[in-house]
Amino acid sequence: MKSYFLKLCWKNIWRNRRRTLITVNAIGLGVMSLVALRNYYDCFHEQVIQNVIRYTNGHLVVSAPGYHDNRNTSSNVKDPKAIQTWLTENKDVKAWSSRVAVNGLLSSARGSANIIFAGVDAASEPNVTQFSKNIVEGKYFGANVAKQIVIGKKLSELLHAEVGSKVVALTQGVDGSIGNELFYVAGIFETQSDADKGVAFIPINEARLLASLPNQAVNQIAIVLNEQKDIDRVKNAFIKTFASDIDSKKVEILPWMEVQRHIRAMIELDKAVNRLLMIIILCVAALGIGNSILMSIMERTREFGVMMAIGTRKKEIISMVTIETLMISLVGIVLGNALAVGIITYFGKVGFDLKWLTAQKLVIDGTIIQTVSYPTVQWSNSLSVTCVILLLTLIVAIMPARHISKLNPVQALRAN
Amino acid sequence: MSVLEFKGVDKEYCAESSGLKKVSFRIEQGEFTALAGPSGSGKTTILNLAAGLDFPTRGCVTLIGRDLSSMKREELDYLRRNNLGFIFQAYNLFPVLTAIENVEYPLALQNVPAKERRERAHAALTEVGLTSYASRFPNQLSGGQQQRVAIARAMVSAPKLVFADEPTANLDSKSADKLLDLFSSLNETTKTTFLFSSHDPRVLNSAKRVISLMDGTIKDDYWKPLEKKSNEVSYLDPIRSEPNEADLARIKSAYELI
Ligand SMILES: Nc1ncnc2c1ncn2[C@@H]1O[C@H](COP(=O)(O)OP(=O)(O)O)[C@@H](O)[C@H]1O
Ligand SMILES: [Mg+2]
Repeated sequence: MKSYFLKLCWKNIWRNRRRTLITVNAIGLGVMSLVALRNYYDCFHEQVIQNVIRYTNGHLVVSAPGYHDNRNTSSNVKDPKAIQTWLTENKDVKAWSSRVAVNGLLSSARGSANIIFAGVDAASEPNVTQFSKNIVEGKYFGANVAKQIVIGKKLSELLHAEVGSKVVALTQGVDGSIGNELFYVAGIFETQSDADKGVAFIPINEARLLASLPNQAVNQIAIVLNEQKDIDRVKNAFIKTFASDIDSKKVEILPWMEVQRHIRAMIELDKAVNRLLMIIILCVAALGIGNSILMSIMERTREFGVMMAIGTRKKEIISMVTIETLMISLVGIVLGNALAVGIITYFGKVGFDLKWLTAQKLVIDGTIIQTVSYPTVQWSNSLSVTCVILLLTLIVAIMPARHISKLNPVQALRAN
Repeated sequence: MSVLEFKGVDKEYCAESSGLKKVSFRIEQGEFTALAGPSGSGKTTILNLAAGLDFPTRGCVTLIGRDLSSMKREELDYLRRNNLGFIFQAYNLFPVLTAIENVEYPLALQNVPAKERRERAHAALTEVGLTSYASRFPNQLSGGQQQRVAIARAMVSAPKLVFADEPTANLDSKSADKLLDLFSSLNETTKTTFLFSSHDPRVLNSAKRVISLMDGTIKDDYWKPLEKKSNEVSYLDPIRSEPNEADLARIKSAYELI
């Protein structure tokens, strides 16, 4: 279309400045909330996922079948040597760490608590999970790791234990025997999650002793990959390599989303709510545009009559009105995206904290969900919201087009 | 060849209203004709049929040698775009465009390039004496000025015919006179065919030919002898082949009404 007509369209949309501004603002706010929310959710979910990966099981976990459902120490992989070698040689695997977990009682002179003793490999575990970064007192494991224990902040308060304190672990092994060991507190960690009062880290060999497990046995091997997108590839390669072990129910490999099903479900639920919100916002935007453009063309019936009398084709009038509709919605889209980028950039700097909206700490499956997130601008969200609104605008523009195509020039000229 | 011909045209809107009955006339290139008649006599209907905006119930309308009822809508649109100018009683102009942008409109429809468009619109505004008002918006112009912009817009694409439906009805007598002078001088210099409708005696006064309507039929169709240019307005001035007292009285009363 010629610039003359584009200019005419542009001027036409500002005829009723107030009405157009209301519509533009409605679309703008809609677009803003959609884009901002989507960006926020994307970042939040990514953060939750990374949190889960870095504090629990990594991208993939190898274990005995059913271990993640029963959490029973007796569900273990007795001879993981071949698997460990395979993991070490796999180029997609960044790090892996073997673990043994056993339930039991930890006591000090001042108190006791039922906890999970997580037996980890002091050398490899820090490459997989981040607990070592959450040490607030003491250190993760010292040079001589034997007899050392790292406990959570809450647990240390409960037991009145400090770095260097002596604590006693009392457990029941898989064979029914009682395990009893003395440990020295090497470090205290704080994650703000349930782990702070329910988990203590000990060297994996100590855990095997407490649990009466054979020398090589593991409950889990947590695997961290170089790239999150390679989860399926590594999993499939593993399944191919260890097909016989899998068939004989000795071992299974699960991606994080199957281990942490609750978190996966929460993310899916969030996305569904987001889609619902999107539909509502889109309906409001559509109503706004439709109302605005219909009112505008009703007021111009006579003018359309004049246009037709001097040789304007109905098709041309329809395209002009459609362009006007698109212009209104484009102004709203630009406004909305600009606002969204502004908001996201701002919160990307200072962080957006959901705390004031949540009644309590967000803990799912003992994993703390960070309420503060630092969203980043993701153009794909702007683009998809923009496309959807433009498409919707075109659909809405069918109404005025139909009205104009039914217009009779003689009657239009008699209108005022 | 006539530029416009009505042959036995009937127009029935509905059972009640008269519309047009057996209307026949023929207008040659360069004529300056007025359609006279009281409100409801069928003037607008004739102009609409002549422009192919509406179609006769019976009979035939021929414009520039083409039978309008045999033409497709698209052809009619282009016929209007390229050959007709149209001026209405009021609200001719796009309120959001300046005077010169309004005048450019028909040229934009014809895809005339921007520079040439501007030049021609400017020339047309000069013709109607509004050069210095080019960048004003319609609401910054008087009624007479708006009508002159409408004339410039109607004339800018050098149409064969210009239709004007009661162009002076909303104007005071001085502006109306000026407008009519403009029309007749444009008619003389450009040889454009003009067809007006009006119940204003001044319009009838400046027309060379008057087709007088009553209840949808032509009551009278006469030529006036060569004009003596006079600023004096008088309803008795037009010399008619057959003076009609009743018609005159109607014209008079209509004039008093406005
Ligand atoms: N769209 C229409 N529907 C019904 N009747 C109409 C319509 N247009 C005009 N008429 C009737 O046709 C007659 C002529 O109208 P019109 O051509 O507008 O007269 P004028 O322009 O001389 O005032 C009137 O009686 C009018 O009521
Ligand atoms: Mg009329």
